[in-house]
Amino acid sequence: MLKVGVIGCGAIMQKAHLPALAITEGIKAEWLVDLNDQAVAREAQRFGIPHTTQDYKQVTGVDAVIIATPPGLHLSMCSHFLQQGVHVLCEKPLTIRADETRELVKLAKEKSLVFSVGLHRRYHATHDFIRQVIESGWLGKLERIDGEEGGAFDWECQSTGNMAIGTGGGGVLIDTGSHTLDCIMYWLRWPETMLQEYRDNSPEGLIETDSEMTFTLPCNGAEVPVRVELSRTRTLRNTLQVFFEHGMIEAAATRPSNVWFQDKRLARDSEEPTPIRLALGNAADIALGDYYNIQMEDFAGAICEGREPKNSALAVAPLVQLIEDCYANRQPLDEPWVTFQTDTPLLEGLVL
Amino acid sequence: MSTPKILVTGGGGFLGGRLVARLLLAEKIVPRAMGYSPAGSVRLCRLPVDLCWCNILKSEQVAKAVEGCDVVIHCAYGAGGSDELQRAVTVDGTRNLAVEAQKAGVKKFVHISTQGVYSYLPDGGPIADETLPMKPSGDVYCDTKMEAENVLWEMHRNGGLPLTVLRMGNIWGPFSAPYTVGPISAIRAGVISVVNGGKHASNAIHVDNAVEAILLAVREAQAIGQIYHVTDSDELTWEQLYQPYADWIGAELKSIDFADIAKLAAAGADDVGFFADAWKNAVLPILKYSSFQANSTKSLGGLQKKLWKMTPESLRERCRKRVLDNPKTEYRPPALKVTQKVAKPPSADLLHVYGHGVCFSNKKLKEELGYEPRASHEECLAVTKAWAKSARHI
Repeated sequence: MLKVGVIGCGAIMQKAHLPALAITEGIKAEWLVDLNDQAVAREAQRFGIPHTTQDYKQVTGVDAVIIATPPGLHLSMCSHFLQQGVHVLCEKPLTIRADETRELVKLAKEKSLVFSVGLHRRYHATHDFIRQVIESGWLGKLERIDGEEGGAFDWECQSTGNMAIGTGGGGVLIDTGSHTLDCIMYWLRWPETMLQEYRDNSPEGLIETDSEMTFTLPCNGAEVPVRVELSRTRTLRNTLQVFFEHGMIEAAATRPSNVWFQDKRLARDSEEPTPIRLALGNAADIALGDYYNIQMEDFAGAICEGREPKNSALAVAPLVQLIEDCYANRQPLDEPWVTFQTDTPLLEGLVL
Repeated sequence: MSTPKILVTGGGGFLGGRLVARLLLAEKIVPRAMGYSPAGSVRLCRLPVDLCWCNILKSEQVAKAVEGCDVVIHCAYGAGGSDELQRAVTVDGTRNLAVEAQKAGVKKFVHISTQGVYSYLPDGGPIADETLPMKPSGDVYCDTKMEAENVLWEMHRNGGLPLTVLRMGNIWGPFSAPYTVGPISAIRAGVISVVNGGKHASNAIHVDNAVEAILLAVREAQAIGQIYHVTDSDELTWEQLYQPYADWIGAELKSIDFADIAKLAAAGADDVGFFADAWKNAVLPILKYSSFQANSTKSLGGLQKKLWKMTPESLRERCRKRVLDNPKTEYRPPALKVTQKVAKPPSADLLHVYGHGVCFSNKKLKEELGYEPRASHEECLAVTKAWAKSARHI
């Protein structure tokens, strides 16, 4: 039985990781850690976790840890446990800076530890399908990729840690964008990217709600253009579109086993064929929460079998590098409704 | 000369968020912005403000929030949860804030109220000034706003709270759910969107003009002890506001006669908009919903949700199949665009707002505080259109 320390007791831990831990065979939570005493006491009772503390450094006697704290805390926490020889599953995108990720990956390799990152969309059947279509050349040359993901932000955060730049590291890009960009990079096996332009709506580099970026990534000797748009205020298309020489594939961001597929060579007349829906694996979508169970099984299996998990952190540095490059090269997003009517001050010289 | 320190409550909200941006960008004032939850403060967290997380029901947190402030602009109210919680936040929270503001010695307390304090079916008219008596309506938002005003006026009279009350009209513009996003969605779905052809006064106020009025109330000493109606103009009708929305999406602005609302309400209909157009408002959304959101009833209105839950599973499955088998309505990602969003029919209350015909005049605001809309109606429409396009509403 693997003994696990659970670090962080916020919304994602309560809703996803702890329930996944509870139903995964061969693994048991021994410690629960958070500054929020009330949440820790409640969840420890709910899931029968014997030890609790506010300080992760007090956690001892565990084989592995699950870390779900704001990204700015991941470096010190991951480093601490890897150095202790403890396997780590850490929430995405791992760290704020790529050199931090590389440092942790090096440490995990040196210690021969399983090091997973919570990029659970890698388990969606859609992304293996797209990867295979790209690699087989089924639809010809990969021409461009267009991703959009956004909706009103309604995550029930238990703390404000992700809303402060020091701990959160950024807004929609580092949060939702980690998943969106990782899917794209997964298809192409984490290539080095070349950022062209990044724009967001936080003028001083705080917690942006909206962002857009273009970059290229190498595929079969060509540089493939990619556009990604993200939002916490607007409902966007919420799909990834992959355009090929002979057709396209479109995958909905949160539908794990359906893609819409178009092969232009199947056209009966001059009109382009309507994309058809393909059900991959199980015809019915597996609920999103189930992917946390799959992730936990894979993590436990990787530890027991001495193999790499599917969401291994070892190749995640290019993703973190791209996010870091974006923030370092930030340009203002054009939002005329924000700058509207801000020319003449009304309170200038006001003395009360 | 030091810049006044301004606390904006509800700083992450629709109006408070716009006010905070204006203070930062135009007034070069870094406000202290009070937020309650991260989910409600995403637009606030992108700006370099003096951010203060605060539960308005906790006096010690409120005391910390107002500490060192010269001005309090109170935009926060109970916007969600049970009626009791909404009442607590709007009434008790306002009392907490005013008590702590007085202790901290603030020089201006600008309270954002609503013309809803006259109820959705106000007395008086056709033109009403600020002397029109408030009237309970049974609606939790309107009634708690009225109670909050009463608390503050009591403190003004007996304790010298430097109070100004701004009774906002129907605030439209970027991010306005009830008067921009909702109507566009309703017009697109062919749902009733105006009453009597939209000929009545809209009492509409563009969010940026609302901010202008707030800043005037902060600036002008004579605003203390006064109530002001805040609207774009006394003349702007619903048709003038909503016809451009219809034009943006190439749809028809659909109207109902005011007399018909009363008849349907008298017949016991609790959702007049629904009964006025049952097929489009209830059945079709359910069919559409069943095709792509089979695990959640989140996008349905209350009555639709009840109907769906009452439907036997076998019939639900037939509905799903019927829609999925129809190539015109088959779900695929591009169809997630606005064309398949489910429009919620207007409630009887909203239809009353569209049809009551009373103009809450902004004459006093103009004469005493020198208010003029900062932007023309056309300019406000243009910027709203730009936002609506970016937000994929049009």
